[in-house]
Amino acid sequence: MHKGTTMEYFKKMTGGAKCPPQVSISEIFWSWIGAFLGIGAVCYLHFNFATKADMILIVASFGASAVLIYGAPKVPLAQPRNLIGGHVLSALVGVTCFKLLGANPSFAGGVAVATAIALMHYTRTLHPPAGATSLIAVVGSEKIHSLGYLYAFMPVAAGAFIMLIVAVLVNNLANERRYPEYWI
Amino acid sequence: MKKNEKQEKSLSSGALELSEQDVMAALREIHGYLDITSLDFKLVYRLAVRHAIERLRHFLKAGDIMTGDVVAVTRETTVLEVAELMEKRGISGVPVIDEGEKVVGVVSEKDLLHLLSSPETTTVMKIITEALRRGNFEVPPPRAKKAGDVMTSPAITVRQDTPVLEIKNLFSGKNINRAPVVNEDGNLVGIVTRDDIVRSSVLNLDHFEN
Repeated sequence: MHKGTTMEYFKKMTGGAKCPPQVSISEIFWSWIGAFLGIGAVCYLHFNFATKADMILIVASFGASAVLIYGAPKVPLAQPRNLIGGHVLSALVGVTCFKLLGANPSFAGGVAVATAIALMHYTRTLHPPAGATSLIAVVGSEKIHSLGYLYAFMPVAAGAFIMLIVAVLVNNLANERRYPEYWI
Repeated sequence: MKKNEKQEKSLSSGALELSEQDVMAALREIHGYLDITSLDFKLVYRLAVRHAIERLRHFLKAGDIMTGDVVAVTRETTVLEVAELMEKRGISGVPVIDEGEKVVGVVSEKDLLHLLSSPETTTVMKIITEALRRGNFEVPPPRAKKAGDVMTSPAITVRQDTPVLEIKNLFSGKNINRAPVVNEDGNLVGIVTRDDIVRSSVLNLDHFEN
């Protein structure tokens, strides 16, 4: 708990740091290219193959993952360990919460996301978009619910893996980029 | 205790401290987005520097800061020759070695000054005070004496891998100003002086750039 005077407590809310500077135009360019190709690949495979086999490859939280792995590939949150580990663990947590607590969706949703964050911290796989992955397992469509634990592997692991391959291939095309910083 | 506080202050202020502008400039130089605020960056930097200083304090060795080009005398060298040598080289102490190049003692300015006084006169300032009071030195300078007669022996020596921190403590504990550096066989390979230690101060930025 906060130790100190009330003034100090409110003073903490004023911030004090500055917003980081704008990135270069080439960074913006490569962020766009990466996201376009990565999300494009997942969408293409989803609509041309997966849906025909009555399967899913897209999870909305991949859009958020794209921000990290194509927009900020240096960041620890964007590394393969976090991308794959975070999504898969959170998906498993989400499905478990739905199965056990699904009768009370608001409680199940809170427990799912909170537990996903705690587990990702504990396993050093923190990946913010994965919080959405766990929530989708609870509040998602009937189709998602019917997948059961398969959800963690297809669409979640498979889709994240495709995005990862694109990130490795595309990010390293840029002169000033290197991806990943570490694998596991 | 007081000393530590002083050190702490000199580390957290001054040359090593980053300004907001420094951090922003560095972030701008790095291509790509780093998910860190300038305050966090400064915090990480400050803690890391503190660790680096701590590491250097323990891992900078005698061999890194010693003067390798060291002159030595033997027990048989006359005190006049020793004084002349020290004057010519501008040094304040010289190791004494035996035939096998083993260090057997050290002759310092203080040892030579003691030649000019009676054995009861213990401190350098006492010798000077006495000489000023009398208008001359207590005893006529004994030119024929040998280094072996006046040297401080046995010599307090260090190894090349002795941490500088340890040497610092040795110097202040034994109240000495220099220590010959010897190898495993006890042979003279260099000398470390208080000067070397001052110059190797952890605030010397060269160590961070390597």
